[in-house]
Amino acid sequence: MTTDVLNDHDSHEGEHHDDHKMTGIKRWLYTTNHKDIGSMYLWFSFIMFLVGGALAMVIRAELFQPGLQIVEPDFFNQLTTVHGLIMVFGAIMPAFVGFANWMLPMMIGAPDMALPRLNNWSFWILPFAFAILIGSFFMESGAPNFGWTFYAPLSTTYSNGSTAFFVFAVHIMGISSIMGAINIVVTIMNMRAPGMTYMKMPLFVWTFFITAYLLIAVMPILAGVVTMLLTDTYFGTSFFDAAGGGDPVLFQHIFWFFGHPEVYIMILPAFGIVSTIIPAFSRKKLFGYSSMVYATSSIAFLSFIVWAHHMFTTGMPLFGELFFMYCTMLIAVPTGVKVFNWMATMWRGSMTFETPMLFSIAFVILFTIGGFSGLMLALTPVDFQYHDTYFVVAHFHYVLVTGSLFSIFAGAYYWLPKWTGHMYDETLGKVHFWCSLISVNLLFFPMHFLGLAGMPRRIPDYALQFADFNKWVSIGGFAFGLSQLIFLAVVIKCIRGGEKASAKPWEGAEGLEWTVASPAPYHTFTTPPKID
Amino acid sequence: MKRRNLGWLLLGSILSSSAWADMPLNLTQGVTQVSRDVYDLHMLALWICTAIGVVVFGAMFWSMFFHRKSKGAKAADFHESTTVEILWTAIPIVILIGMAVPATITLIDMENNDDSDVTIQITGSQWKWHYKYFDQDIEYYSVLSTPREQYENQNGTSAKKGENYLLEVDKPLVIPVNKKVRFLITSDDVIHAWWIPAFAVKQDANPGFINEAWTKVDKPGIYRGQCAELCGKDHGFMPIVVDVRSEADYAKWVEEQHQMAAMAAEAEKNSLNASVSMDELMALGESTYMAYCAACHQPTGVGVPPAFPALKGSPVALGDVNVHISTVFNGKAGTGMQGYGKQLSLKEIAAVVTYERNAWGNDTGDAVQAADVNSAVGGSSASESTTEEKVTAAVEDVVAEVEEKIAPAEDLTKEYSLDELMTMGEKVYATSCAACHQAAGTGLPPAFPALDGSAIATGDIAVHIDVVVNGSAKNPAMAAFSSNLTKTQIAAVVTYERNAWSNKTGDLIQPADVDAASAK
Repeated sequence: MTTDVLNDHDSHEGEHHDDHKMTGIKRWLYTTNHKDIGSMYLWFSFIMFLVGGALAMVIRAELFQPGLQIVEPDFFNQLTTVHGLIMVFGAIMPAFVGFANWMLPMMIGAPDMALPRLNNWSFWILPFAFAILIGSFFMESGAPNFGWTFYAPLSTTYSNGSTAFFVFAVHIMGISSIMGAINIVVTIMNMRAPGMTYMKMPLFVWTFFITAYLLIAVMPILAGVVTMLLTDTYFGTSFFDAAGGGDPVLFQHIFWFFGHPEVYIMILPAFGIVSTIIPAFSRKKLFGYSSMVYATSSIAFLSFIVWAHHMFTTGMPLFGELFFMYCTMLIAVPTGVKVFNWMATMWRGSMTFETPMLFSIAFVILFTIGGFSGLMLALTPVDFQYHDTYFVVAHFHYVLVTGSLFSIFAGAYYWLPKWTGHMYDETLGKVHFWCSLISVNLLFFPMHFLGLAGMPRRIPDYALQFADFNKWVSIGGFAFGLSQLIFLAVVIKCIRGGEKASAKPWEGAEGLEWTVASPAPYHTFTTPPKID
Repeated sequence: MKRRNLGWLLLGSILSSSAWADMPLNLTQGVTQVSRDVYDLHMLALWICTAIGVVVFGAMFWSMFFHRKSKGAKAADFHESTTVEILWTAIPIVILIGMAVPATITLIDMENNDDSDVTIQITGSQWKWHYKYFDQDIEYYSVLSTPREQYENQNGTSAKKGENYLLEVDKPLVIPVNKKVRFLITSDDVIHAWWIPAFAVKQDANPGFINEAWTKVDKPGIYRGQCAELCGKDHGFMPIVVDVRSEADYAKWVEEQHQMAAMAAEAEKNSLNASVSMDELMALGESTYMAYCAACHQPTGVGVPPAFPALKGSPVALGDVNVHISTVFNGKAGTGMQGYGKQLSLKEIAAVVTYERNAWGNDTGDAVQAADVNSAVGGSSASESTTEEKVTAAVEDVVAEVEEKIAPAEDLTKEYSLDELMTMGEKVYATSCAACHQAAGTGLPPAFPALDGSAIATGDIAVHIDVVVNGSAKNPAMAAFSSNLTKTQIAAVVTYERNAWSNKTGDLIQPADVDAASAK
């Protein structure tokens, strides 16, 4: 810390060798430091990503050829269910909360998150939630086997007995998310550096701000619907049972009223990350900052009025089908604005292609392909053909894997120098990128064709005509899974050493986080910076 | 050495693909007008997306190649333009409208369930389909017919898979060509979805509710589909096969079904008096067990606890034979155990119960005959009725007598005034009709049509009376009210329906009219 002039706004405190850190395990158990908690979130989500990925490997191994070779159909359903739950609630969402923890205070010039103890608590309940969920594999009932969407009555009257543990785990995840979201909102509203007005916040901050509101709005709905599920299963209520005056379709309405905003919860932060990275490596300011803010807000608003497009085949009235079709198509407009803005940001820039930029560009292109299939799915008459086929599986993996996950990789490479103080191995990073890019497309692109040819999703065995494509998809799957070990190697190597990173290792990077040293000191911005 | 062989085997199996049927790469055009409209819409959307993709990705790749630092590109410093933002908001909206218009037209057509020629109720259950023809009094189950050894390859076995592996059933749904066939889709347990890609029909089967869909196929043939909603363990093993036949062939098939139904009834009756040997029972029991029970309780009888309990050594299979029979016949509420009384003959149930009581070391030695099944479940055609049945019959007689005394004898010759009929009709309507058709006669379309201004309530009186008395052949939700209402009440309610709301027909229907109409 001797020569770093960029860090001088907190150097007058002088004493920042004394971080008041506990040692050993206690440091991590009791920490209220946003950087520690951010790191724990990121590691936790990566471990969950590997667990969820391992389940997917078994799924793809079973689907490698026709016939049941490895698992029983019921266990297959447990695999798909827990794979979905882990990837959504255990990998993608905590990873974004990890980014929020690490970066938000540094980007708005705050010393820490506004509610540090809540922050500790919201992280530390998560491992218990997933211990319960994964532990159910080893119980007599087996793990949840009703799909991550847990439609009643398959998850109530006809469940295998895992419902109670499932509901308990989801409640804990929900509490964790709500606490994390409240913390983000409070931090952004109260702790911005003097002079940082809302329209001066980095777009990254904006997207997390809006996402946090979505979380606060819909996680209680998820909590409500799983509670109704619990009482239907064990306490004789009939919310979703026609025999007692309920309606199984009601479940789907409530679930998707949560579920659709949930998918934007998993993509808006990704927009924030790539909107930070693309300008940095194009050496040009983000095109249309304010239109990006408005587009993000519009998407958030629209996410509340499109939920029933997941339910076109449930027997909705014509009016409902038309309403939800039009609203869903409308989402293409703000999403399109975002893609066009990224395109315009690159246009006549001065581009270089380090790993974060490669992942960001792949994000824009492949997410857009997922957007195209989304637009096709929005058309109700055609959705009757696509619904519940591999076309849908292809669609949401394009937006979640090459969308959300790729943005997480992009962000991780981009900020690794700031987090660790070392440059990552660029060659290995590029190897990781190209392996992932090729295998992920081999994995998910043929699924479009499988769906169009009529292969339903969530089946452990299939007709012979689907055999060739499934084989290639499985090979892509194994390759993609193995490629992620390269990422693990890059991260470990980067933590353990490597070329020293300067405070601002990327030429075109902008933002307050680059004004502090690399690695970022344990406490930053104890005196807020001044923004003009 | 061994590992290398395995590697070659793997590579070989990847490359040797030609043996299997080729997969179409695009959505099917199908064999109905709707499916072709859907296909056109799909292609329209696909081409629009492709065009947008070419422009957007083209521009991005252009900048990636030419605006890179290594080629000496200097960054420009523009970063906003309201004109451009408005432009790329407005143009997509125009494109979207261009897609929404044909989509709306197709959708309206798909949702028009009126004027059907044939109505079939489709009921999904774990994991089979049940078809019931309303107009012909035909009903049957349709179950996967691919042998288990073709798909159960966990032990390394692999029987050669047939051409229609997992897409074949024992009895397909048969429908006539060029007729509008209406499907009323529901479920007995969890949610299933009935899907035939060639018809572009996919509709969820919701327990306790009825969904509608229709198709009009213009080419005879066999069309295959699958359940499209996760419905538990064997979701991947409940295919749908539809056999579309010419009108003459369809009529012939209907005739055959009636004959077969008559023969089955005859056989059922004969089986009551027949005594079948243990060997024969065990043989029939084993094949029935493998087809209907083994999916859950497993071929070895060990089940998949806790959802699907073991039968081997179970209290049900070793205990009271009547409880065992009743569980098989009626199912067990609140569990996945469905009732097989409708699906299997008495002889088959007797055989399967015998098998379960004697296989896998359950050596009870019990041989159950069809007559035992019949008496255990209280069949009405049993030669000797049980005590319980006699009691029930006696109670029913008494109740009927009492009811006769309480209910005042109906005077069918009495003539009522319009006011009297309307007052009585309104009461009857409120208690018997308003739940579905609504107090204001607006109904809850499409399942419960409106009466206000409806063709029936303002058209031919005889048809109107007939629907109320006998129910509707086309719509199962419209029950026959002849046993619930007196003729006077029916006369009143028909009068009410023809004169209430905006239906001012002025028609007066007397009990005698109803009597005359229902005598026909």
